[in-house]
Amino acid sequence: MNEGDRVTPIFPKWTNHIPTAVAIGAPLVLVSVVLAVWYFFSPKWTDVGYTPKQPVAFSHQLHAGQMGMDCRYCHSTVERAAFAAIPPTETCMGCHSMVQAKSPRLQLVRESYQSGKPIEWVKVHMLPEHANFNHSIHVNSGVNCASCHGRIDQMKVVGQAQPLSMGWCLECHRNPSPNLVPKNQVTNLSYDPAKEGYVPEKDPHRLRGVNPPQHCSGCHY
Amino acid sequence: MQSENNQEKSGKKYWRSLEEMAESPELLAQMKNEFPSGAAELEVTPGVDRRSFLGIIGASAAFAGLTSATGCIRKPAEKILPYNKRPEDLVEGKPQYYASAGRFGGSVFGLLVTSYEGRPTKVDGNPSHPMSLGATNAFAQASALEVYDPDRSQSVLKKGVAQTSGRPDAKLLKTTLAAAAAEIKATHGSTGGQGLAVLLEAVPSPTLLGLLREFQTTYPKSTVTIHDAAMRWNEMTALASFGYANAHLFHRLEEADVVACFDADPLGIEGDVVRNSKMYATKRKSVDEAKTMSRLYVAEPTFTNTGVVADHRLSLRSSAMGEALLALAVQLASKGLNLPAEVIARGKQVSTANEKWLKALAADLMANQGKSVIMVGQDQRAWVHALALAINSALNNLGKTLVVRSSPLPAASPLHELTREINKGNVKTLVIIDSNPVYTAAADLSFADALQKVQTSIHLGYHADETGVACALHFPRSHALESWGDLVSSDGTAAIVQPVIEPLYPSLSDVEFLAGLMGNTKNSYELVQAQWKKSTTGDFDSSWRRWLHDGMVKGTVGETFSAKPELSKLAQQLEGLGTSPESTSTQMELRLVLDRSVYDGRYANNAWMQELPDSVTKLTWDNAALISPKTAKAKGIKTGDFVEIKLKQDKEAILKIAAFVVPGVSENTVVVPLGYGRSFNGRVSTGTGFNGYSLLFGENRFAFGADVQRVSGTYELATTQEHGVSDYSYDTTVGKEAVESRGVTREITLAAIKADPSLEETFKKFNLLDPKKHKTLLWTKTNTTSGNQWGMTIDLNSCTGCNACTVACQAENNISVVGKKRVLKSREMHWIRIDRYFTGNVDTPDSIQAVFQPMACAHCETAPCEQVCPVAATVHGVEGTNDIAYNRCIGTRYCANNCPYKVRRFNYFNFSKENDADNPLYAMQKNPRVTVRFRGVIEKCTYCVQRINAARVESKIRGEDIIREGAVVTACQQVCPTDAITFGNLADEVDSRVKMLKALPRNYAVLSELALEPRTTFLAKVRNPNPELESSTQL
Repeated sequence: MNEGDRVTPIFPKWTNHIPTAVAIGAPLVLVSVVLAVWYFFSPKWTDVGYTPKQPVAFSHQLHAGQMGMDCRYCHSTVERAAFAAIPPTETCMGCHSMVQAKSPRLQLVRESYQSGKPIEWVKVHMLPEHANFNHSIHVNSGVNCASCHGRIDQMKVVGQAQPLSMGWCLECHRNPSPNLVPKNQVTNLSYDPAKEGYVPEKDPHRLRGVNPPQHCSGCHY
Repeated sequence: MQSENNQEKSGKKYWRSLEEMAESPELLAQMKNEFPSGAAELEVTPGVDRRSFLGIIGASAAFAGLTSATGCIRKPAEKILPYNKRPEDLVEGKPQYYASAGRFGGSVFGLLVTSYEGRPTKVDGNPSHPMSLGATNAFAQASALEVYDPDRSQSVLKKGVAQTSGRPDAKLLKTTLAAAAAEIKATHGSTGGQGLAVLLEAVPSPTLLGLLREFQTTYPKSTVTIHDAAMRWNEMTALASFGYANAHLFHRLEEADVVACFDADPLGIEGDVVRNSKMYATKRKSVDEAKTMSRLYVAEPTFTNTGVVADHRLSLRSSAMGEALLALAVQLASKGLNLPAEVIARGKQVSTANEKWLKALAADLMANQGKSVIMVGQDQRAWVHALALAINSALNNLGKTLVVRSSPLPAASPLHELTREINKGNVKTLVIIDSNPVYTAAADLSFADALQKVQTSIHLGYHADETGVACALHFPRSHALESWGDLVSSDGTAAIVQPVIEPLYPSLSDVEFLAGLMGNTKNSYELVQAQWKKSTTGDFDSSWRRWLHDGMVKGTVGETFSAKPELSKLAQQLEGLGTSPESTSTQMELRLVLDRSVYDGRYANNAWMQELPDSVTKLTWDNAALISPKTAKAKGIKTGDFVEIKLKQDKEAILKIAAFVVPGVSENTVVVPLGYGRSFNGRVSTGTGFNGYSLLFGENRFAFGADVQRVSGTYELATTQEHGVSDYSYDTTVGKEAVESRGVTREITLAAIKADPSLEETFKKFNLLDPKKHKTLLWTKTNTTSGNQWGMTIDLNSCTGCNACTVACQAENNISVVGKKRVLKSREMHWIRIDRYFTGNVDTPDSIQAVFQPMACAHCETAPCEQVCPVAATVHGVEGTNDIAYNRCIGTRYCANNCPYKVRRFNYFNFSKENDADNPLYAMQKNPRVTVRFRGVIEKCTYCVQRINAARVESKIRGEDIIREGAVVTACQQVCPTDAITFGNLADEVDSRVKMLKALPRNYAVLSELALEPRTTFLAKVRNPNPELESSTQL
């Protein structure tokens, strides 16, 4: 073969850099995809801050915050049942037949009371169907409402404060103590056990240690 | 062959089907498969080939991706609809319990109905009611689904045509009823009810019967007819002949050390089954402490639940029962019992082939006078009942083990008398209250034709059934869970029937209907209250509230007859009975029986009952002509063949029906369960089974001289008897598959317990490997000594195989129904499978015995299923439960394959969604505390973990970490009428009943050689054979 018979290259010279670029770039892309999914697909991103518009402009900030109504005045089943039931229209009308009785903002409530049709509230804290959550045991164990729901007393429109993901649940189930408050402070949303120096193990009113379930059938059945 | 070695080793060979006994190659090949044949096969709609199927899958996956891409941005908004005015005492999400009562299979007992936000979801027994004592039967369990039957009647029909289009019309119901009342008054008012007839079931309701008396006062010439599958006419006739007018027998099995049943099934389907089972069980459970046990003798033509648990079973045709009883009387007289001379004289004329059996029974009865009872089945003739009563009386049992009580029912005539009157043209108006005679009447009555001769026929029924569409007028009936009522049980206890839900459709209860026909428009609440106000002194309102709370009316006991029977009357009844050839003839006997799943046909449209495997045949969705292997061989009949049964009496009747060959049926006998093959257009009942009523002649459900011939064609019968066999093994020594006995079910005798109290020697023959020889476990054993450690025992000695647990589990745990085609592919979903094993020689029916063994997830401590799950969907809980997180399951079914007990069920399709689509109301029955499973996941017994968690929450709120004994009752344990199932905390050293039972010598683990350490263990069955009858003592 002669010197001058050099074969013309099919690929241009810059293509020599492709393997290097791929070697460096592919892991970068992969890692960023993983990180993006990790962050943007997690309930922390998708769920926290979900604040749907409600049919009645009910302000928790006004009722629970300014007026200082106890959570249990309306959510009366929270200590006894799995659900913290949304109050029946009757409860609203208990006050609003006197207070703000003609306010146009309460038109829907009055209509509901007269027609017997329920008000269609939009659910904010949506657990998946396969997770069984029971309010009564958490409230009776001294988990403050704010631990899961945030400072409802400061929200004009209720939004989701915590991710309510399985990992988030388990964080507390593995180490519940920092989130426990004295039982009479459960609905005091501003109570900070760390600041108050509350140690659940030393509380004489607690009859048993708190040992929340961590096995599957504790919540999934 | 290893199987033979094993047979020698364990003494007895157990098998589930004739194929298994014969070790048929097809069955062995099936057992070798990873999954039962057909179960794992892909089902593709016909016409779609595999390639295009994959294309469709690909396309739908792409669409699913699109929708989920939008879906992941935001979950769809959900609404919360709170109550407008919350009902008093209601806490959202917490169940409420209402005491009520119901009548199931002829027995009335107290109920406790569970309701979620006004939706009844489960029906259980009322623990304080003496006829229920907390237990129920399968029928009562199934009534929770019955109320949501989508085919229930929803509107008034005139000549079978619905009078409303679209929405049900409550106004029309009232106006039509008022018009009917006016018409009755116009036609019959002046004649005092001449030509007016009322037909009803044997409902012992004081309010209904009070209204009926009122009706008869208004129309004194009207007639009352009772037509009911559970009505014991012959027993009533026999009792009347002894001077007990309008009476029935009440049995007290808790007092009986020897029970002899002649064609009777007191633990299965006849009479007060729940109470009888409870009381019978107390006499069997005494084996552990007192080392004593009652002895049960059963003579019957086909296996009943009572026959399966019997210590001695005699295979005897129904027509030969009376003669056997006569022969027994002779034996008893020869041992010194004082019986009327005429009876003995008559008895000496009969020859019986079963002298030895009867002699042994006679000796036992003589030794247990006052502590024994002879029970005769309802289908036996009146003289047989009379004879049994005479013997019981002579044995001093009357007033002790059985009591004569007055019946709350009015004097009434049977259906054939009514039919005769109709055919004579004497009936102008017929009122039918919740009865379906067009379907259930004997064929020789031709009731459907007779009904057309009645000018005005008015029907009240839950379904627009065969009778409903044939009547001039049909009214929809409210379910018992929807209306007020009252019922009296056979022991005299009265209870108020309390509604739990408003009627789903405008409908009438029995009492509203009858009152309405008299122009009384009061509702059932007012009518029932009015009835009880009559008999109450003092503050009615507080008594009423107390009755509703307790579930029974305080102080109601009914009447008991204390006079001795006039035995001299017995001889009259025996006169004129010639020597019948029936007991020895080789002619075929036809025996029609009430079905254990659909009863007389009333549960035919209930999907749970249709899919429930029969206790003995394990048939689902069908009935079949049962025939013994020997007779079948002689006639060339195989299981699944069509046979034609011809019966010629007044006229000829023919039924073409599929045959099912099953051991335990008497020779030359064909048994046909009733209640199937209904022409009522129900979406569940359509196409199931064959109508046995077409062979029913007269009042007796057995007939002689049937002609049974094989005809061309075969029929697929979905039996589950071979599903979940765990006895398969591959014998390496000869390189051959075999069905190997591995001591899965264990039977011992009372004598063995007495001789070997620790049972170590007795159990050796069952153990392939001594459990004590397990050296090291591959897996770490879980903690069993602290916290809540759940465990269960199932006492095979008390289990009567009644199936109540299977249905209760289905109701509690939202278990889907799959349909016949899928049962054929082993895809049924029941979490509790009740295995039935036969043992004995198939060619001699007397030697055949059977054993029941309920099998559900045993929650093994070293569970093989957990070890193979690739996604850790099934893992071990800290409390010893074998958990499944449905959302993690990806459906590999490795766990089901690796489960030695074969108790894991796979959702091959979206069964729950299909169930809801097929029967839209079924969703209302679902238990909100249990996940409804979807396609592609495994499910199995969870030990009712939702109940454990509910109890845990309550106990923690109370401040206790350990759940108290008795706070968790599983659904199967709750329903069990013999308390065979015990559940509790194994770590509880003090109170735990289950721990105590597990310490008994007869406690064993199935397949203990595998060292699975199952949390569910069994207590071996104990039989108490009579030493005089050697053949059955070889255990």
